[in-house]
Amino acid sequence: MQYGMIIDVDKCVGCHACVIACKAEWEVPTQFDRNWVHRLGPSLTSDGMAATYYPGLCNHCEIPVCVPVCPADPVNVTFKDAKTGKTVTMEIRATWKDPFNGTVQVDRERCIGCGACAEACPYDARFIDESLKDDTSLGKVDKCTYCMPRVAEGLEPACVQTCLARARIFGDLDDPNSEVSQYVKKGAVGLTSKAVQIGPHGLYYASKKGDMELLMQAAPQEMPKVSLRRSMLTRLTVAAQTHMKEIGLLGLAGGLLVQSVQDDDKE
Amino acid sequence: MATNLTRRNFLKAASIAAASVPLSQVTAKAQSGVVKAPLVSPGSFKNTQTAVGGVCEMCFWRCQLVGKVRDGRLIKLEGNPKSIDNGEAICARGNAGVAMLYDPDRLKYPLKNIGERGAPKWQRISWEEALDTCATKLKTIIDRDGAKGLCFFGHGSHAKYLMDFLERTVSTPNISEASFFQCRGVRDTAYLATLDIAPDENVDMANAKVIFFTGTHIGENIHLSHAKNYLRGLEQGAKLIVVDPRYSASAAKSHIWVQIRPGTDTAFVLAIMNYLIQNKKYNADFVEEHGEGFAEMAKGIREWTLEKAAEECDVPASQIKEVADLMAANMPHVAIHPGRHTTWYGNDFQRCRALACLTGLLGAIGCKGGLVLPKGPKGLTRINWPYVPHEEDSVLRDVADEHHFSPPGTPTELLRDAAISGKPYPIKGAVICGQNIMQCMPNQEKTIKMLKQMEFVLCVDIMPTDSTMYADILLPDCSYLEKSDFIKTGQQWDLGKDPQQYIAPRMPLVAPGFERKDSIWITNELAKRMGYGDKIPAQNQEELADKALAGVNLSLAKIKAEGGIHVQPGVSPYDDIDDLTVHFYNEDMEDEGYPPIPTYVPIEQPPQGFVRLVYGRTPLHTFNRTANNPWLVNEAKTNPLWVNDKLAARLGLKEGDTIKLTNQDGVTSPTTTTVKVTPGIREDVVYLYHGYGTKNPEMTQAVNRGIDDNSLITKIAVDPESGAHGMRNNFVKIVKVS
Amino acid sequence: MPGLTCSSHQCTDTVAETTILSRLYSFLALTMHYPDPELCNTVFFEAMTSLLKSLGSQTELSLLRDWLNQTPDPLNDLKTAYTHLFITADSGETIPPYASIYRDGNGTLQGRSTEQIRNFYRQCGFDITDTNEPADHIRFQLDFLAALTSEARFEDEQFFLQTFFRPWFELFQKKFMQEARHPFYTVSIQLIDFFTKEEQ
Repeated sequence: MQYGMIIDVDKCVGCHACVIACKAEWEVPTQFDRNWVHRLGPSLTSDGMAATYYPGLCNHCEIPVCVPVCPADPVNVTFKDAKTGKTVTMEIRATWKDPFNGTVQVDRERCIGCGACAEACPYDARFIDESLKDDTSLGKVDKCTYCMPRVAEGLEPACVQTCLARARIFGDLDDPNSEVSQYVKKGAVGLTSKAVQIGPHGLYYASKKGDMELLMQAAPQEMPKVSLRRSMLTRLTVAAQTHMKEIGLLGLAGGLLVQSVQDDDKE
Repeated sequence: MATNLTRRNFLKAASIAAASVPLSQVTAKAQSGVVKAPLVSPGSFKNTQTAVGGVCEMCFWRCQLVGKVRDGRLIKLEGNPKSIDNGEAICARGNAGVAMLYDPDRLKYPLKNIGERGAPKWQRISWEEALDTCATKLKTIIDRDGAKGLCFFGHGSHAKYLMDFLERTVSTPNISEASFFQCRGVRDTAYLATLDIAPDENVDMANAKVIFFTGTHIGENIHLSHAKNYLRGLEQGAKLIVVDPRYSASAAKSHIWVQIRPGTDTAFVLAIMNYLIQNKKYNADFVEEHGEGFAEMAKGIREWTLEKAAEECDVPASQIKEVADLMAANMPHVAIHPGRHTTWYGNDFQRCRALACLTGLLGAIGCKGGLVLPKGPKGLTRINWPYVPHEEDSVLRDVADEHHFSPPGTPTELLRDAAISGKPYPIKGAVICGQNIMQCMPNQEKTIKMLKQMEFVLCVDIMPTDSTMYADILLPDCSYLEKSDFIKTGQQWDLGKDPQQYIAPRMPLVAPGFERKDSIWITNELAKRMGYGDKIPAQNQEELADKALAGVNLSLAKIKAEGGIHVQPGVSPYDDIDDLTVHFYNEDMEDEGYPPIPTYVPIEQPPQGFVRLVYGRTPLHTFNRTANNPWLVNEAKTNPLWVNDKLAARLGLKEGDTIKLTNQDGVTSPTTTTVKVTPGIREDVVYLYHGYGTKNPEMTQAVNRGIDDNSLITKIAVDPESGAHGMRNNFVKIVKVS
Repeated sequence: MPGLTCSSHQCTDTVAETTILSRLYSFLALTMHYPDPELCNTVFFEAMTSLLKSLGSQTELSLLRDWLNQTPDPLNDLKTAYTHLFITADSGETIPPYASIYRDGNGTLQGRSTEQIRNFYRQCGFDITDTNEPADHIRFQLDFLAALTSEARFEDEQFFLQTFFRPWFELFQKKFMQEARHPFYTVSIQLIDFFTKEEQ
């Protein structure tokens, strides 16, 4: 099973309800977005004047580049397939791709807020909430979860439910009879480019050539460079804090380490 | 704080004479609770109750809602699954109702202005004092100048009960509703003069073969089930024609985009009609059966050849022909959209009349895809304040002998002129409820003048809008989530489906906070103090709703038990046109000195160096009403000015530049916005979203954000037939700031 | 976020100290009420004056006295000032005294902080009686602290101060001090700060 989301831009009217519904559902602070709508055009395309919308969200990619860069301590977790009851045990850090439903999830409790995963994502689908920093992290990551807790209760993802145009279709891409699979047959594609081919499962359908052109122009054109030094320094910072607190050197050392991370940002 | 002591030392040494205060605010109650906050929200579906009966009023379409409530706190709003109107869907503004509910800038307590009108200094007062003051002041004016000495500006369900009290029982005719005189009133009266019906936006787009928009921009304008209606039509293969100087959200889904010169739409429509008549492509049978004065109109519009209209409208003649042929090939299943906000140039009655005539010419009334009035539930009891006829010579349009085809109420311009001049009589009391007159009436200076000469100004609202800065007393209303003041009824939005009707009375989803009171309570309290206590039609909002519902053997409680909406079988809305007459030629209009057939009235063109300022909708906002909502502000932080790319190049403007606007009267916008460069707009027009540029610093999220288009609409145009304003006749120069 | 520390100095308190602390909190809560003639009178101002004297806070004392001396109608003055500071908004000048405004990243009322604070009141066996106002209004929090200390529940008091009160109050106070404010409220906020901050 691989969950995926189809955005039918023929139907989409660009009302932004999906963004606000998600915010309300998961109590996301105002300045952050688990999903977004970008308004494209009006511009002249090879097919004349066009204007459309790019409703975006985490693509729960086939090759999630965010997963391997996480520096949090690894743990063993056993996953269970809701349908078959099958289990599998994997070593994961604070973010992983679910072996059974293909979604990419995060564990805020174990996240150390280094920001490497957010940096790694070419779609800019993650954010770090620094106001949640504590003794063991610089903040906490967040992203779209394909509303797995809602789906588990038999509900639609919040963005799908609120869409007045029914332009968002959610389902199992591995099921050839699902509505999402029908859209794939009709030609729905992910927003990829020459340099960015990580297998997004958010797919876009447009019958108008001009609309599709605008969407493909909105696709990320390059893979971001992740500063591994940053994630390493965060690991050191958080570990060092615990030791240094006892010997009262926190103020001094913390200042030095924070400075290093900031220098890193400037590079 | 300057002290040498620590708390610890202080407590040890203290011997203070602090006032001994009993702990009256906190009582001991045994409760259990969880303290440690999870990092992940549980979601709206966990540990919440579903409160039913919500009826939205972020805009005025009024989708039906449920609320997810946890311990008295609203977490999320969703469409009511029982709704046959919006279903489980709600738009961005509907979803953002939660942020409105808990907006810290919202009005909370009655306030008295101890400063000046326009530069207020507020002091919180009790409801007692507030109501006593209002009643005394209003009564003084009535006793001295008559009821006509009071005027009222209102909008929405907040305003209806208070408006009816003032208009019907206190009996002042000086009621000016923005939804009529600055929005859709001119459309309604033009269609009434042509088809004897007010159309609202009742075109059956879902089942149409052709959909025709002049200016309508569904997608930027979101009325939820109307958008569903439109999308279903497109899905079923309807051809969409959009007449708009700008490549709007609707133009983006259109099959034919007519990039028309602003102000010439009437010529376009007359040319279509003339072409259809000359080429015998119109619905002759329908016209034969229902038409009146057809020959006179046909003769009167002969001059409007395709070529003449092409010249006037700056579009190819072949395109006008293409549109006309498409309509003819598909009639009568052609949805000629009547529009909604139709107060454009001050010649709008004629344009709306032309659209109504075209609808009749195609026979597109009462049939699938045409102009079809839905059949909602009947039988709700009419409950209202008792009517006292208006004093003789108090109706200003009668005194002026103008605007004989006016919507209900008094044309705004006549009202302002009378108040400012004191002639024919003084208007010294103003009551403003749920309407932001500073942002909706053209020429803000004139509005300020009108308010400043009042003896008393009362505002009732939920937000501290720019208008509330002029109040003497400002009262905090409940929002739609906290009260019960409206009953929404209707039919399912796809008229082609099995007919169903619904009754959805608004019920509160949460208790009002602070000291907010619903406007029905406020009105009743005022009425009692002003000596009208015995005329009160309902003692409270629940009684008002229950009395109305009693007519169909329902009640708030019954409908709440049904999940908040009562659904019942309906009747087909089609084919109900036996009594229909299409007045192509209107004798009454001729008698009053107006053109009897739809007539093109040209408008002023922009002077050299200027472009026309046109405004419209964004799906993120309901003009200034939602401008302070942090969730919506985050999505649309400013209202960028759409500038044609060639014009931008000539002016040296680039995407994202910061600019101000100066108009033909030398008025400059106090704030700035950014430039959006696009080929999707004509060179003689610029466009931005209406409702930005708030002045009142009390709206902390909205203040100074973007440009207030109304601040630049200083040249006033008034439609002669209806007395409605036209607000796209001002011209601007773009001034680069950075 | 500071970790929990046990305030061992409280363990040897006398009954008198407990009462004084509780009364102090109640008094501070009163300063954050909308001014009304019952509470906002000569006795009240005298109490505040004598409190400042005992602390040796000359600056604050002068501020308060100067204002009292030159105003013909202190109650009216305070009503306007309270409305302007804490009720109506004015970008940059209103500082609504609710935890959720400063803590929840949305700037709204009735945020998650409100829920958490109310849950804590209840866990300790208390609840608000005036449900018109959100539970995280500063006066409820101070009344709650008064209630806890009147029962000598100092661990709960310290936990509440460090976990719930100080994090938002510090942000609130910072905003407050950015501009010159009404002297009565300047002094009140200073007093609240003094009596709630962590002992060094």
